[in-house]
Amino acid sequence: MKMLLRHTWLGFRRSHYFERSMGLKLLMLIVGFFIAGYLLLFGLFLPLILANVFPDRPPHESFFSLLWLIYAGDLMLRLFMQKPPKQLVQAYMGLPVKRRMLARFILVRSWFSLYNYYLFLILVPFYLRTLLPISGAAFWYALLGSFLLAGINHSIVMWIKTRPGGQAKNLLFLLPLAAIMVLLGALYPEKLMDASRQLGLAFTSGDTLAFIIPAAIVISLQALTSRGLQRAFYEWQGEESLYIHTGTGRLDRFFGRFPEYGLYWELEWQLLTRNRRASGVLKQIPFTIIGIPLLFYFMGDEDITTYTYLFVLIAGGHGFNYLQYAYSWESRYFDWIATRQIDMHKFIRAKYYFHTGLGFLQLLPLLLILAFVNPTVIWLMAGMFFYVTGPIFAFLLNAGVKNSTRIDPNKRASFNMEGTSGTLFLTILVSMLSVIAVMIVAFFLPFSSPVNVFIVTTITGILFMIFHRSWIRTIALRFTKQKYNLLSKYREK
Amino acid sequence: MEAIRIENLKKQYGDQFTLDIPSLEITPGSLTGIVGNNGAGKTTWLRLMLDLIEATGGDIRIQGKPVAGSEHWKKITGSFLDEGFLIDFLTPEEFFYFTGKVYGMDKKAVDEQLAIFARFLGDEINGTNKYIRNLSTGNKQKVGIVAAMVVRPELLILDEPFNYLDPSSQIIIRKLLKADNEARGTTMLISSHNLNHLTEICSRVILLEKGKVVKDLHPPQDDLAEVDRYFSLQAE
Repeated sequence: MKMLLRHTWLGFRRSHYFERSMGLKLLMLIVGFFIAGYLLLFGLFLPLILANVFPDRPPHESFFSLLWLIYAGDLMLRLFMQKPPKQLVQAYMGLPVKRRMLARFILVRSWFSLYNYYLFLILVPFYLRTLLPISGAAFWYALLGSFLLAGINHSIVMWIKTRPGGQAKNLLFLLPLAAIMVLLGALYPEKLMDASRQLGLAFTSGDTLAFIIPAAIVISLQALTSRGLQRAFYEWQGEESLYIHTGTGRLDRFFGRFPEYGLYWELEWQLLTRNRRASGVLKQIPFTIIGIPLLFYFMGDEDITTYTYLFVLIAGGHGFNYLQYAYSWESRYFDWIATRQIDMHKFIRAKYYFHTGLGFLQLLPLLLILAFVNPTVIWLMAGMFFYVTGPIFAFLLNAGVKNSTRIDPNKRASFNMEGTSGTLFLTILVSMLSVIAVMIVAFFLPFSSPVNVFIVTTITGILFMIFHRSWIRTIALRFTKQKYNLLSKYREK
Repeated sequence: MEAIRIENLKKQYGDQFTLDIPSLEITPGSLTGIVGNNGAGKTTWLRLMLDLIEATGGDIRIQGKPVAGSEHWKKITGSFLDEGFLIDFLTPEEFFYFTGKVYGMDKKAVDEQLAIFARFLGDEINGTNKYIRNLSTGNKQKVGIVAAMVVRPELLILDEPFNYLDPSSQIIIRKLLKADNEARGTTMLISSHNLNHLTEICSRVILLEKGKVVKDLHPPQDDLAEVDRYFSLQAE
C-alpha cells in the first residue's frame, strides 16, 4: 500500500499538469477559491432564504425536506462528471501485488474525490447556523448523516463506473431506478419531502438505524465495487477484450461518400466512436436530449436568461466538450498527418462542419421536446446554438492550437491530471464568461429579456458561420506556423 | 537530378549537435542504409527528411525542391518511423484503405498492393478484427511498413524497420524491399542498428556517429566489414 501511495504521488507530481504555467495555475486556484467562497456564503444565507420561503417551519426542517432532491441532483452530476481515480494497473499485475490490495487502493483513493466534499461547503455553515444553536450533537450527527448520503452516491457511481463491461451498459441499470424516482417525485411530492425530512430529523436525533442503513449500503456497494474491479482487471488484461466488432460500418461509409470532406468525416466519425473518451461524451447526447427538457420543466417560468451560461454547455451539443481538446484527439498520430497530403485548412473546416452538423442533430429533437415542456426556451436555445457553433467553436478551434494535451484513446477520464491543462481551463472559463458580453449587448436592445439575447446570439453566430472560411484559414495558418512546436508536444519525449 | 540533396544540415539541441551533415546526395533508385549506435542521429535525420522537426541550419531537398515548410514531397513519399505514424483506432485494413485514399488510390488498387504483402502481414493481421492500438508491437511495425509501401511511393523512408519483427518476417521484408527497389526503382532510406540486415540489400551504407557521417560506403566496391570493425573498436 505504501508503494502504491508513493507511486500515486510521483505520478501526480510528474504529470504534465506541473509542467504548465504558474500564472494559469494561480488563476485556477483563485477561481477555485471563488467557487468555494460562493458556496460557503450560500450556506450562510440559506437559513434566511428558507425562512422566507417556508415561514411555518424551522429552516433545517425545510432543508431536510429537500435532501432527496439535493442528493438526486448530486447523483446525476456524479454520473456525468465524477471519474474513478486514474490508476496504473497493468504494471502491477506481474508483480507480487495482490489484486485485492490494488482494488482496495483504488477504492480508498476514490474517496478523496472533491465530489464527496463540495456539498459540505454549503452544509457546514448551514448546520452551524441552524443546528449548532440547538445542540452540538445534532450538528455533528447531521454532518455524519450527510456524509453517509454522499457516500451512497459515491459508491453507486464507483460501482457503475468500474464494473466490467461498457459504462453506458452499466448506466442502463440506473434508468429504471431514475424513472421510479421521477415518477414518485411527480406523483407524491409531499410524501417524498416528508420522508426526506424525517430522515434528516432522524440524523439530528442520533437515531442509530438512520446511520446503520446507509452505512450498510455503502459497505455493500464498496464490496461489490471491489469485486467488480478485480474482475475488470482480468478484462483489461484479457486478449478477448481486444477483439472488436466493427459492425457493418454503414455510417463510416456514409460519411466517406461525401465529396471533398468525406475522407475527413469518415475518420472523424471513426475517431469519435472508437475513442473511449470521445465516445463517452457522444453517448451522453441521448441523456442530454431527455435531461435538459426535464430541467427546464422544473425551472418553470423563471427568468431563463439567468441560466444563459448553461446553454453554452448544452446548445453546441457534443462539440463544446469535444472541441475543448481540438487536435489533441489526433495527437497520437499527428506525425502521420504531418507527413501526408492533408490540407490543414480543409481538415479544420471538415471538423467544423462535422461538429456543427452533429450539434444541429442534437438540437432538433431537443427543440421538439422543449416545444411541449417549456416553449419559452426554444428561441433562446436556437440562438445559443448559433452562438456556440459560431464564435465559441471558433474560439475552441483557435485555442486548440495552443493545447498540448496528448490524449490516450484507451483512457476514459477527461478531467484528470493528464487531461486538465491550464489552457483547457482558460478555454472553458473564457467560453462561459463570454456570455456576460452577450448579456451586456442584449441589455441595450429594446426588446424583452429572452428576445434580445436571441437576437444577439443569433446574429453573432450567423456572422461567424458566414465568415467561417476566413477565420478557419487564419487558424490553419497559425497551426502550420506552430507545426514543429505542436508536433514535439504530441510526440513521446 | 539527385533524389535527395543535403546541404549544411545541422540540428542542435542546446550546445550539442545531434546532426551535422555538410553535404550529401542520394541518387534516384538507390537503397541507402543508415547505421549508427544509439544517439548517432539516425532518427533525427529521418525526422528532418519528413519535415517533422526544424533544422538549426541548412536544408534538405527532395527532387530539387526544399522539404522544410513545403508539401510537394508528400505525394511521392511513403514513411514509417514509429507509432505516431499509425492511426491506432482503425483496423489495419481500414488504415491501408484510408492511406490509399489519401494518395488517391481506390480500394482495388490497394487490394492489389496488399496481395504482395499478404505473407508478411500473416494471419494475425489479415482480416483480424482488432484495432491497431491493440496489436502487438511487432504487428504494429508490420502495419506501419506496409502502409508506407502500399501506396507505391517514389521515396520510402523507414526507421528501424527490422525491429520487433520475428526472424521470418525480417527475411520477408528484406526481400520485399529489395524487390520493390529493383522493380520500381524506389529510392529508399532505411535506418537500422543491425548491419547484417542492411549489407544484404543496400547499395550504399552511411555510418553516423554523434551526428556526423563517418563512413559512406558503396558495396560491393567498398568492404562493409569496415563498418563491423568500426563498431567492434567502439565497443572496446
